Amino acid sequence: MSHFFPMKRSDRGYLISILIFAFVAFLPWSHRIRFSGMALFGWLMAALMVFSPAIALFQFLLSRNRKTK
Amino acid sequence: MTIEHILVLTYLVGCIGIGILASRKVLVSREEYWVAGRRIGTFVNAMAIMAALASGGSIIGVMGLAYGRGIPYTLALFAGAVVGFPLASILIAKPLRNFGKFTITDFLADRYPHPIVRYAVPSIIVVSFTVYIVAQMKAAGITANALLGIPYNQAVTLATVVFIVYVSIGGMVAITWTDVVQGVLMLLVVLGTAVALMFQFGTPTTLIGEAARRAPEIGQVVHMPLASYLGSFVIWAAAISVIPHIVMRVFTAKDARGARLSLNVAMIIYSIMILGAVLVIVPYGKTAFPDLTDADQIFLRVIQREFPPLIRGLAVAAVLAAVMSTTDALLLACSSAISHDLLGHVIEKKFSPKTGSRITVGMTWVIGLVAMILAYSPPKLITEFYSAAIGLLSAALFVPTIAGIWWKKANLSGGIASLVIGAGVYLAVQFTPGTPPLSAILFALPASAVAMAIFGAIGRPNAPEMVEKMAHLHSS
Repeated sequence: MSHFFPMKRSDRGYLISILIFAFVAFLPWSHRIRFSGMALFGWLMAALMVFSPAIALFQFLLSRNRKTK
Repeated sequence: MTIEHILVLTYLVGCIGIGILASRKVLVSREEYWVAGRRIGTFVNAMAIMAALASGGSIIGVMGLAYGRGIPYTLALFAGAVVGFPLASILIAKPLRNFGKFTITDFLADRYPHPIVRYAVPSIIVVSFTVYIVAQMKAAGITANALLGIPYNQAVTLATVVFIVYVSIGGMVAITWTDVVQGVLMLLVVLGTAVALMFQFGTPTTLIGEAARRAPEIGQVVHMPLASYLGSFVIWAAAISVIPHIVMRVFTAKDARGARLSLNVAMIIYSIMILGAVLVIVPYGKTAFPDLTDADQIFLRVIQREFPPLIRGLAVAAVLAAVMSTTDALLLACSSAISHDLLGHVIEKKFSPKTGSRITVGMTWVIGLVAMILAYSPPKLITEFYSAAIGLLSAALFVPTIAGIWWKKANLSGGIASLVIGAGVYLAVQFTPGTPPLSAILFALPASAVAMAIFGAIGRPNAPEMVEKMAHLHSS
């Protein structure tokens, strides 16, 4: 028997993806590459700010639609 | 009196008016006062959540931080806050809304029933939030000083008195209504400024490229040790799930789904606003004003240089809105920590509901005035200052809350140990000389988790009723 309360697979997948993205972004390789005057690290953080909420909302609405059907 | 003064005065009177209107409804019951009767709709709640998080720090402070410490560092900190929203939406929104009380302390004291938890949690909230409120008051003071010419201390006093009045008499209903107005106002001003600058001077890549040619450090990852970048991200990613003024908004939602959707929508609006500020306004400001001594002044300088009096008046109102929409929620959370969490049992037993409400109102005044006095000697770089205070909350509350909701073996010993060790390690590392800014969380969170695991394993197991109760929060 699991010692944890069950979490939806899509939620678990989302959390793991965010963790992996953040881990990769914080590695030193992204600090040295520059694009338009800013380190790639900064652009990756900006991308995280755009995509993490958008994907979370999309996923939530998708699961809600499935339930109502 | 100029047009800027008239706009700001109208706005302040409007806030007090909302407080008076709301007071007719809320002072009759605790449920109305603390959580607005739990009937706030999704989009109103989303706007209120966004406004509560988007503080003076998010308008004045975010741009000051990016100007002083570089854009990548600032984006790391705010990306943490944005990631914190889906974490909160997945990890706490449904179970806490289903729990159906008023505060994060209610949950923790119910999950880990012990006086240490009942008294330590609100005490940590009061300390952290007083620091947070001081930072907001600085934002209000420097804005009114720079754009309206009001002396700093007078501006702080005026803003403090206005928001204490409408919070103390209007409770959560007043906060929600004013937050929606304030959220719209700050979104319009920040995004309006960013769009106007883009039309005139080019895209974010052009503006950042130009700023980096004059001051290369603005785009580099060199200002701080890597531990500070990671720490600032982790503090805010963890904080959103436990920060009381956001958690209280979860309790105000009509249902668990509404709570989750509100968090998701709020973070999208918040992201757009922060990115507009950091990727457009800051690089333009760095090019135009490369040598500011107080980095937190950058937004105000840009507004002064580029826009006419009407927009300047709106900008002051927007910054005050940002300050007030966060500070009102912080004040309410702080006063709930004292008059509901710490003294709630005494107040309920010894006083009538009406007297209890008056004590709450009095408590709001005391906290607000203490913070106001502290704000007369303001800190530098407000965002870094209040992030350190929020780090204490994350270090102490994140593991006990999340483990309490999701881990069946999280027991009383584990809860107390993770709370005390998380807070203790955070404070010890934070005040060790030479510690990189905001990095203490990187030691405190793992220590708190290890304490939960060890004491959870060796302590007395949970009663089956407790596990059943938690299971019910997930299933209903």
